[in-house]
Amino acid sequence: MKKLLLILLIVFLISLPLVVKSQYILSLMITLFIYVVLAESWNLLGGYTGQVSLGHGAFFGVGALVTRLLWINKIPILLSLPLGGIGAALLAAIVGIPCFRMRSAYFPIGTLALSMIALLTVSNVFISAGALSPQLLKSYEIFSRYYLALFIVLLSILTIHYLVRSRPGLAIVAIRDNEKAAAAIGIKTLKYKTLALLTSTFLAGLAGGIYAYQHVSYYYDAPFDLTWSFTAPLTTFIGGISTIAGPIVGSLCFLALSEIFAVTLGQVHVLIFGFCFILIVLFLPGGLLSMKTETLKNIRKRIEKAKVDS
Amino acid sequence: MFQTLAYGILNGLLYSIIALGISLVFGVMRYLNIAHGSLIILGSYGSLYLFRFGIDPFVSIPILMISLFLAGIALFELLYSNFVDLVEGLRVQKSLLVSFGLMLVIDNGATLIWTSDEKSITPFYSGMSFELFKGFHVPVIGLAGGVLAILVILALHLFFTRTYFGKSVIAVSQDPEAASLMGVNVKRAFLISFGLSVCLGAIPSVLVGLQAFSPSVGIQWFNKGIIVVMLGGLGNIYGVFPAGLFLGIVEAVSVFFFGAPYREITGLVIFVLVLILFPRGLFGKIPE
Amino acid sequence: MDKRKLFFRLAPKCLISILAFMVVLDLCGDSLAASPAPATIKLGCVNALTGPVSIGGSWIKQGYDIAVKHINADGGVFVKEYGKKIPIEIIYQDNESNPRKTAERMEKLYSIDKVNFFLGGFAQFLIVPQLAIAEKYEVPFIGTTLGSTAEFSRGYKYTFTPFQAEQDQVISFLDVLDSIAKNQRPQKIAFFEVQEEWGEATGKYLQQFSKERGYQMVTQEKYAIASNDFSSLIVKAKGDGAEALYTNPTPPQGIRLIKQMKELSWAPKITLIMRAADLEAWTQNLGKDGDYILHEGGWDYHLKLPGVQKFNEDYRADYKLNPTPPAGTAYACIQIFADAISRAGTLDPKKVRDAIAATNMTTVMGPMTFAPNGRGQGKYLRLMAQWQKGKDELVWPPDTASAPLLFPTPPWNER
Repeated sequence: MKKLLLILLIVFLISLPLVVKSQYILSLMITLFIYVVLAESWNLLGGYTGQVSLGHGAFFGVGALVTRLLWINKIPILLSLPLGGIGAALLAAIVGIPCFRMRSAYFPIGTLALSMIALLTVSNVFISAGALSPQLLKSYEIFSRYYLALFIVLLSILTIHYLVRSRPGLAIVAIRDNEKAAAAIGIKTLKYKTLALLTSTFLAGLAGGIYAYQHVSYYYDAPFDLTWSFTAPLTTFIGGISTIAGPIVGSLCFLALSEIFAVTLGQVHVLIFGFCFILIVLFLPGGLLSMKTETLKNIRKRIEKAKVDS
Repeated sequence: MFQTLAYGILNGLLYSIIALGISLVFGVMRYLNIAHGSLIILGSYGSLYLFRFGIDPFVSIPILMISLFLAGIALFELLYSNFVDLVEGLRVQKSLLVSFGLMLVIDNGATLIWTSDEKSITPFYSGMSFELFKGFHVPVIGLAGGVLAILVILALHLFFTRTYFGKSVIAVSQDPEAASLMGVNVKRAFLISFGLSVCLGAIPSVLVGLQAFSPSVGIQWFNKGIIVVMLGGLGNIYGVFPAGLFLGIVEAVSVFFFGAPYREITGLVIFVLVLILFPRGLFGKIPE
Repeated sequence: MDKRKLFFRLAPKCLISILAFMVVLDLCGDSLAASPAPATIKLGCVNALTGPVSIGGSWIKQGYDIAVKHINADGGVFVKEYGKKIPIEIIYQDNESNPRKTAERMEKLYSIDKVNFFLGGFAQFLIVPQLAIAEKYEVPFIGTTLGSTAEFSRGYKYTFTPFQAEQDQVISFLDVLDSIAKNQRPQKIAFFEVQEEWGEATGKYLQQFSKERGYQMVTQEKYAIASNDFSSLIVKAKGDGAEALYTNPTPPQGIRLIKQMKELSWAPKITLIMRAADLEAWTQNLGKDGDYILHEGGWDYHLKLPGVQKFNEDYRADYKLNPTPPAGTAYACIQIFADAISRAGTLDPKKVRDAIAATNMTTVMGPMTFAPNGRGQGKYLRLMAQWQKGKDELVWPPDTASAPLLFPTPPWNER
């Protein structure tokens, strides 16, 4: 049954551009794909390996930067994109691995600091916007970008799916559950954490590359913005951590909600989004995916408990 | 050089006070309150209104402390009391999420009420400074802020070591279960600590208000605060004082080596290096 | 019923309904463009309605709205192709003061709302990403507060702005300096360069033009957009003996800069603070510490030009404040569109684009034409205002000034 749904979903996504011609919707879908890849990549490191990174924006940004610079200098996108991913992984190798030396409680803030450093450096070094030349603008079309993004999404999900179910995957999850115990039974924790880190950042870099390919004009520090660092864990927590479907559901709801609010509500939209966000966090502790097993009864019980406690 | 250093030290003390609030909450109940910066900005708006009624910003501090304390208690009851019973790792995550939502609500609510316009409190002594020797000025406001910061840390120290309640808070931060076995009302300790942490934000409220603020800058101050908390060692409340000074001085000195645009970056790079080389923070006490 | 089964039954229905919704949305979009004479001329504007710079976004919106009100009061713009007057309608979308959201919202305006033309929102860093999108779709775009010459050097054909260029800003400053009597004139200039496009470009032009006119730029120090400590820059400028200061800080930085200048006892004889000192809030926040500061935002409500007085009256009636510089620029943008559309006689993007390029009219910004790269040209694009006793006065050019320039700025302890 699950497999059938999955196939239906993939068919739906593949056939979408043939039915819906609106650039706006397709562009939004690409943005959704970017969110999903970023969230999945984050989840590999955060959900499955237990290393909560608040700095994925840096890797996303590097992927975007490398891809963009290569692409506008006439290197075909199919080469620039993976190179962007590799660039991100390279950065992770240089600065991320030393970060594993930090206590587990410090890793999030240390990576956040990395993200801030990347943002500030790029803002000071690349001051102007990178807009496409008139020639590149003329050759811009949304369909190839959509399918490329869709391909990257499927690729990331498959990669993570198989990685998590393989022997290295077992080691990774063991590290998350109890790093000391895992080390005690002979798992080389640093090796597997590094594997998770490099894979995760490579995928994040690919997501950045898609961003660079999709947008015609943006300031080079836009993909380094801290909100990218926050959105990945946020959407994953909301959707359900340590699952493949969690980041997808979380990204979809996050993006849909914020976009719908933005387009319909006018000045109060972020305020209302904030309220909804708090409500979801308080009353759906397992994330949206847990709605599968939650019932209305449980949620009502929790609201009652909250009322009684105060 | 000395001039910039002076500003660096005074900035550092401001960072310390902000970090104090964050560290208190984290140390006692393992909550991360991202909205701490936004709450400080709310206090700044409060101070601005009181100023328009003729109340000097420094005089308004006690009023703000009481209001922020009450606000802190209310917020805790409403939002944060829900997941007091969770496992520690989950508590950090949950509180992060809730405070993120809270930050969105506070920042955007403030923008709706007061617009995103910059505000600043400029009393008659704004801009005054003591010229200690030729070319070296110590700003009056900065100095007053620094003195207040030191006084607060001393007062807090007395509170934690001399009062029963203070000692019970320390006990709870070390081991909640043991503390409750000894008769401490853990839930109440959490509640009061949270209120206290927000209340400590009254001093940065006024100091930031005397500089310049707008609804969206809360997170920038939080960022400085969290870095200082980490440098001082998670869970070490007294560590924020030297750590804050360290950050302020590093930023000031970096201007001379790398130039002003890289001031923030240098602070961050040093921060990351410190965490890598000294995994417990500069003065860390908390065990793995 | 088993909950898992429930979920799996609902999910395909959800998917199908989402697909249906999107198809309907798409079809709706198509049908709107199908009719012969449109009910309104749609201008799409992605603006900062929320977020850190939303205050500026509101000024732009106010300027646009009053202009549209004035034009629609007459029935609208006469479009020869349909033989009638058609009113203008502006559709606003919010970019949350975030340049990243600009692209999506513009796509929506184009695909779903099917706008005819684009208007710029507030703040250069938010407008710049919009230029390429307008060019991509070949839809005319008139933007407001865009000073950058670099962004108009890419060979784009569809983007225009009536706003002054960075060079105009620097020239205004130097013209004011030139007008001071030779024996009092400051010769040494300090420039604090904010690390963004605008800051860098201003620095480049200031260096070049000031040298040509015989001034010396003794200090050129950079600072980051995020920083708020200016002590090292002030100490350096003081040490270099600078008598004039030029800088483009953000509003919070501007306030901080003045306070630190006072703490460090530095009051150069003349100071130009762009952007930060444009706001009414400048004098509310700083009181008399904000006096003597020069600033300009490309337009000023004191200008004695046709249409300005009516604009001022209606603006004050609706919004209870004096029109800000961006509001005036926004008003002019609508004037230019209306004029171009009526000259083109059609809503065809290409023809309107050509008509805009050939503009030669008088707006509230004065006489206006466009250079081939889309940048506006006009005599009154060079101006200067100054805060005097808490009031904003226009001090340059002398033929439209509301008050004479106050020079030199007295030291802090003499105020």
